[in-house]
Amino acid sequence: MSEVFAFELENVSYRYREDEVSLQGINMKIRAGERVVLLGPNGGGKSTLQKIVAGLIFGEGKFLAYGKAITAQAMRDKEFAAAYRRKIGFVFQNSDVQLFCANVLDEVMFGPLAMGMPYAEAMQRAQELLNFVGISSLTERMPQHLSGGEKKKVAIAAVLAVNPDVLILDEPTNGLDPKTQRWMITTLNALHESGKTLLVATHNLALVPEIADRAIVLGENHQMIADGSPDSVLNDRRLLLEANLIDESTQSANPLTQY
Amino acid sequence: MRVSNTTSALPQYLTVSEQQKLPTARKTWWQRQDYLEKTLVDIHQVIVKNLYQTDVRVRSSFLQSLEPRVKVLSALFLLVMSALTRDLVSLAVFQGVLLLVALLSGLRLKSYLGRVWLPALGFAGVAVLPAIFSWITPGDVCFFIYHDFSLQVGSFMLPRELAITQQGLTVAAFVFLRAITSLGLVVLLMATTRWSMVTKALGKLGMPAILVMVLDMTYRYLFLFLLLLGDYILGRKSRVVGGERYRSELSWIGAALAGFLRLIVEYSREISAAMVARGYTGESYNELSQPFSVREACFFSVVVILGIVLWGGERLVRSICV
Repeated sequence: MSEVFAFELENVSYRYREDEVSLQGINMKIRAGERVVLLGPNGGGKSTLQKIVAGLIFGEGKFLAYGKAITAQAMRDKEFAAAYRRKIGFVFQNSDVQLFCANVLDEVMFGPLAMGMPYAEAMQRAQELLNFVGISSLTERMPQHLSGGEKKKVAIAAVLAVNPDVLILDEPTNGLDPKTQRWMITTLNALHESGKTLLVATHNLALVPEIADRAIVLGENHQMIADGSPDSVLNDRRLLLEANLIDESTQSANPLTQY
Repeated sequence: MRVSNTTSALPQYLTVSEQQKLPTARKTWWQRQDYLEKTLVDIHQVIVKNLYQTDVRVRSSFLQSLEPRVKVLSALFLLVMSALTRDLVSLAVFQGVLLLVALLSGLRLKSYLGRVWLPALGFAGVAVLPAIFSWITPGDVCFFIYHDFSLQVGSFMLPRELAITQQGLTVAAFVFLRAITSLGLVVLLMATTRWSMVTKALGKLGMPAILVMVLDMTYRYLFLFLLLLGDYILGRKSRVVGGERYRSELSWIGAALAGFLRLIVEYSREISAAMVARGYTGESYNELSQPFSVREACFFSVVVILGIVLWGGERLVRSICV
């Protein structure tokens, strides 16, 4: 594993308003090339943490990405912000908010064209990607005319089009059928094997051992309550109950054995 | 459980991790106004303000503890009375009453004045400003801006004098005071009553049920769409991977409006289908049916007396004096 730290967070907190903490005192380091999954209850701060890491919102505390401080001031430098966005790809939970172009092809070509790639090259890249995600027949389709799974594939293709080093995914398997979920897992692992760093937020415990080497758990108090291997986290019944990831009726400590 | 290696399926360029170094961020002291960034901040502020206002609405202070229908009726009655009054002093004194009620209801003075006086100054104040001058409202001069001065440019001739007149000031004061009275009443009602209760009270007072439902849903979905718009802008922000020109940002805003409208239409269809699925047939159910308490009857009596004093204050004082 790489010795380079992709992200270093020291005492990072975030509040949407003065008396409402969304994230409190987060300390963690993620190495380049790691596969990390973020677990936690609804409203625990997973999405907020991902948005901070993606440089979309800025909390209190210290946050470094590849050794550089990511602050509101730094992101005001358009050149720096563009380089950062190119390095970090973010796939939102709601694909609708991420797809803003007129059709699927424009959507996938948006990134490459924005970073100055010649049109023909961008077109070739887009076609390769659409083949890869299996929606090459939908190039002219408008995003609102796609199914949930197709939208998710377009969103992923659009993000992959700039070949980011880090992929942040918020609930990537939510609302997907089993076949598309399997495709998603296969794709994420293939991307990891090519050297990408993955930071995935999910509720889906069955997904954890398949896509992660490390699991970070956020509690209902918006603090980090565990950081370990998927096995150690999934076998800790007390921890899973505390994080509201299983309920009392779940018999086994490891929810995977339930299935 | 690990999935088989599928790297071969990836497009060639994705199998190579670029790992480009981040440049050093330059400190930029001057920054062009970023319209999208400002919109994001505004959306955040609207939601935070709404959360605070919700806290105020559910307190058990003076106005909050009254039945919504009484508050709506009182506000409507006083609105009519303040529009009918011809007594400037009553209107001015009434501002003190409104302020006192605001404080008793736990509203912040700064917030109340900001929501009442600032818009009134900005709209009514500016609109009525020309009326104080003798060119618009001739009358008894209070203060000369200039006199005995003549200027002619072509066929245009400047009047020989310009003054602020007593009649002009009276007209302006009436318009301004009526504006802050109306705004004050509406702000007090809205700041101390949940929106769903206001619409239900309006329904009880005769507003068509369909309109009540539309108003309720507008408020509910306004916030949903605001949050959606916030995410929509964040979604785009996360994908701006190249230097961007102002014009390109503006053209995106144009296209985004159309895209967002499409999204809203799509959501509206889903919402409508969900309502039908839950048995909605166009009927609405109004939950405000309990009778007024003695306290509310007393409050409304005081409001009626206050309204009469406001409307006929001048005549009342005159008759008492005579």
